[in-house]
Amino acid sequence: MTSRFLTDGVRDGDEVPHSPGSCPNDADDGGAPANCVTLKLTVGDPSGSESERWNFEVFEEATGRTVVRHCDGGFGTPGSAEYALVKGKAYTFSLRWIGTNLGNYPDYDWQALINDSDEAGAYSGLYATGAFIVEDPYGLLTDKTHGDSTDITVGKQGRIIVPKIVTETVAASPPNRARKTIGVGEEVNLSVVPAVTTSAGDITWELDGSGILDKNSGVTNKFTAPARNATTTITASFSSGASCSTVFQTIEPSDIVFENNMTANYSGFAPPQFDFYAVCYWANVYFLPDTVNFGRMKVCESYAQTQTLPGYFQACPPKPHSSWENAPLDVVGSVVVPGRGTKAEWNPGDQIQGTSDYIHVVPISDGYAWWDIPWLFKVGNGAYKQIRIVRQDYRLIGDMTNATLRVTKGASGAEISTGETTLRFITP
Amino acid sequence: MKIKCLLAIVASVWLAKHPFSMHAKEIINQNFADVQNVVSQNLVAAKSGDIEALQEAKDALPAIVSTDTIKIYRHVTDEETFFLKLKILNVANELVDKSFDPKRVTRAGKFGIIPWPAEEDRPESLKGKLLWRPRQNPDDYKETDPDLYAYYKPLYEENLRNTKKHEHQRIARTIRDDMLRDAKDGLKFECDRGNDSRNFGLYLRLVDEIIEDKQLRDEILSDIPPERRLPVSPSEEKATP
Repeated sequence: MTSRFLTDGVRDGDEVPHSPGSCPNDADDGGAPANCVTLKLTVGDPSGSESERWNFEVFEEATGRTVVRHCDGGFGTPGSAEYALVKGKAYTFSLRWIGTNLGNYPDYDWQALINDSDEAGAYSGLYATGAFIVEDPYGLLTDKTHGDSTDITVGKQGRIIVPKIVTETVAASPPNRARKTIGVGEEVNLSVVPAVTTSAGDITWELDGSGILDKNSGVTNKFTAPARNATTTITASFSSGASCSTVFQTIEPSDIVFENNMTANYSGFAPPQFDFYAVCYWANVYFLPDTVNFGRMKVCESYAQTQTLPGYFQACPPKPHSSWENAPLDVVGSVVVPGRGTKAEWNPGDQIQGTSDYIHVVPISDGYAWWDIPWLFKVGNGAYKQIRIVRQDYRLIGDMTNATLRVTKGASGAEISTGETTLRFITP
Repeated sequence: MKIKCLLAIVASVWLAKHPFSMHAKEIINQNFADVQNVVSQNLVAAKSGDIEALQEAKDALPAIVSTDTIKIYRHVTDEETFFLKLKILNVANELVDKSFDPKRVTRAGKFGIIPWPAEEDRPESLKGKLLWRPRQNPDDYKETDPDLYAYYKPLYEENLRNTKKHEHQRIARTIRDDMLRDAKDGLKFECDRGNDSRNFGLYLRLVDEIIEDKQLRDEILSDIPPERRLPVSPSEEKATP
């Protein structure tokens, strides 16, 4: 029963009728009408003799495989039907004489049309399914041709080219490089396929929305996403008038994930060996969502005032968090981790440090202090925009004989207690 | 009258929400001379140590740059873009310090992060003491802790130098890599076109004329079969239709 499903897993009955439909003979369309262009083929004998029968056949150029075998409506009766061809492919077409009711003297009269036209050139697919290009160097397309005593279509072919823009993100992670949702500043290679020489002329590119296109002509190009949320349509136009488009959705980072980096050098200090409590550790930093790559953006932390609750840190508050807007870091991020996002390549990560004062200066008691640090991003030399506020906090619990200093930032954290010589990682 | 008032309110609300909708994007058209001028000026500045200028030279190349308010069209042919990319590549290659290892960890660190030295590595006056915070300005200690200031300030300044060097090298290497990839791709594309290529001979000649470093020339030509790498004279190049 494979004939009902053929190769793409979609029932042929669901792929046709074509309004618009997909191609039951080609798995490359994934069974989705969006991957196809719909056209109308007409063939038959329109002459007064009403004598001939014809097929209009379409073949995939790369493989020679038959994808359409369209029959007329009977002797002397041209017939029309709609078919779907897969975008990004080139096809050849030819006519096949089937028979005559004139006995030994067929007259080989025929009509062959695409979308009711016998012209070569750029066409629009039915139902706004896209553009395609028809080349007909031998004049197979005709409203009516009297073949007389010879089948003059034998050995002659035309071409149907269904262009599309193939997109591939420059970043290899996340693995879906054909995705149309991309991160700010992300780069995408573009190419018009099929990569065949056509009579449709040179290709020119245009961009509607925001972003950067490397070139304005040629079969390949590169798109760089803008610095903010945006929808961008990129169109490749042939000089004949045919065109194909692709739409990108650019998204900004929505969140930041911190994760203890337990492999980097970390240190902890606590009484009685030292006269203070301190922890210093590193966190891996990721930028969500994990569906795109944010490796082309720069980030920084902005200024944050120190805030405290009544207790130890009101007596000795940490200094305000200083801004490093003048020295942002490139995320670089060649790896996107599922669930965490684009990992910043700042080996070993974001340094996080917290200390008490000298305990002989300020006696230990319970205390809590924090910074609400704005994390900002930008692309190139553009303006900053906030991703979100990240809280870095300091908690001191205990007294002069036994205490713990705990420092957290996002989902990272570490603490050290009296008598310990190294810190312990925690996950707040 | 009521309808007119309603329409006026709707219009004013719409305008408040779409302040730019009434203004079309400003369109700027640039030709090859404009682009070449920007690139040349920036390359002169880059050679003098302004690494941002190298980035600006590269940023002057894309054919279409579109923002919310402006759209720049650069009417530059593939051949002209190839020429400018080679010029940028040549300078970027000069600015790359081949001996620089970005992964090497130094005592003073980079990007404002200076690791606390181990106890045994500290001067006597700083043993067992609290040291600096990430990105802490040494001047904060000038009055309150002169010993810490004297130890930390040189490290901080070295960290700034490390950061600058790291940034310079990152930009130079990134641009060198980008331009090298584009040059190789452009040359390979023309080579693969065989007799249909109009520019292969021209591209070979430009590589030969512009790229001063022989090793870099070899890198650019590495995807081209050896028998096709010899540059041709201008008279042998195909005329651009």
